[in-house]
Amino acid sequence: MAGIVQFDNVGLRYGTGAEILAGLSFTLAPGSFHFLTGASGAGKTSLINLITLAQRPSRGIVSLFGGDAASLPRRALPALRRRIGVVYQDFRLIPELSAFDNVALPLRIAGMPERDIGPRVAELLEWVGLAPRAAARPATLSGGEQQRVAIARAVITHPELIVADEPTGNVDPDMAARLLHLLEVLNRQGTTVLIATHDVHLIGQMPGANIMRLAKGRIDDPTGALRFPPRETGA
Amino acid sequence: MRRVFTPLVPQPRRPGTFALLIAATCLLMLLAAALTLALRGAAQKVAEATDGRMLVQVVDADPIRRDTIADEVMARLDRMPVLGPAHRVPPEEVQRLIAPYIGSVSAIDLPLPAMIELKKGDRAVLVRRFRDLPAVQISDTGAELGPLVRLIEALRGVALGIAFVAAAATTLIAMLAARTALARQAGTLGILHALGATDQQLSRLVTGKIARDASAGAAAGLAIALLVILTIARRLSAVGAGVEPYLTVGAWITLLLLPLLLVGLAILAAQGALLLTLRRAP
Repeated sequence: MAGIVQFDNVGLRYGTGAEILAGLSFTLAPGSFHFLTGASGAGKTSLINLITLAQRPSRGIVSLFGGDAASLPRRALPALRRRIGVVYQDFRLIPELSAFDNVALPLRIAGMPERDIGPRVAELLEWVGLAPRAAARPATLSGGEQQRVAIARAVITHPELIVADEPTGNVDPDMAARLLHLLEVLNRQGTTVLIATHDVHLIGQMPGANIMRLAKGRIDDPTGALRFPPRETGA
Repeated sequence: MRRVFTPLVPQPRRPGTFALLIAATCLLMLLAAALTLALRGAAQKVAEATDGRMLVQVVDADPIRRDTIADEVMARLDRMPVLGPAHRVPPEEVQRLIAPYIGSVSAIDLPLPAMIELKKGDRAVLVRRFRDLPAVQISDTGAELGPLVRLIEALRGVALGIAFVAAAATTLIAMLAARTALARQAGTLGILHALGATDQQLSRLVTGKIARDASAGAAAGLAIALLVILTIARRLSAVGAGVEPYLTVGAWITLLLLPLLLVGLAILAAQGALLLTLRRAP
């Protein structure tokens, strides 16, 4: 079965330094739910950058949605990126835009008509509890509110793959549970989810999820389940 | 419905430093272009007025003999059909012309040569024709004014060069402005890039602002340039050497179209610089 994400002996180095990711080989099956854990500096964010096409590997093959990302022409990459929803640890909201416009951005980039964007964004903002703050700029939002805007922006297009870097780091336990539930619902609808987190409690709330442990730039996969995932995956 | 050219992220409306730089280069380019066009007209007029023009002088101290020779010259010129019309300059006019240069001396007392102007002639033919009359001197006035025409042409070349340098400076300024905007908005553009924005969408975001600033700058430059050109033209008219005859309707249309060309050049240069830089991103 072709994976949504497939790494084959992937390595990453910056300049002429040592490899910070080495020999990564794993597959994220369509509809699967994964947690990516590891100590600070283990390479989680670099791995996410490779999956989200923010960086190219120094060696190996990164396949996304069944195709080798490196062999694709550059003009094909934006369409590929639109199939991935990313929640960044530092939110990366655009300061000049309101919460509403930040969430609407992926739809506008995709060229969706404005009349269809309004109701969709309003519904999602309502769901994450930010409807009253729709017009607020990121600078006036709390850390938790900004994180919810970032999550809403990542899921607004119903992407096939959601990659989240510490998505519940700035929200209270109730909101963390709600956001995890949102990701779980999307996962049930077929979206593949990868969450990088230190939060053991969060991982404990998803007993059926796969766990990828990254240590010193390598994936700890003693059973080989990540390299050769079982055919039946997902929640 | 959102229009296709609406930027994904609103850009500041107030014109920036780039607009001032474009205004300055546009002003420089328009003044240089106006000078180029005016000098072309002037060079043409001088060349047309002097091309082939000859002056036949009869130099003889004896006024009676001088008149006789001058009559003989006129008669021979009439029999030479290939030449243009000949005009004998009346002695009073010659005296009036030299009067300012001889102070209190009366021009009537001077043995001034008899002068005959020819609109079109060949010096070699004339010299052959009047070889038997040693008092006759032939001057090729058109050729004598050649250095003046060449000077005007050289000045025109310099002005044209300045216009090109201004256009090149605008191109470089636009490229620098694009790169500066790219660096200033690197965060925002990085986010849009990660969300799947194409290079064209990102480029449009920056070039939209550059186009607005370039238009504002070019409009300001045009307004100031027109003011300067018209002021100089009026002052030259007052001394009887007006510029207006040399700036034809076509020249004015060219001057009005140049700012549009400059804006287009700035947008193209900015877009090229942006796309080249964006192409280096993963």
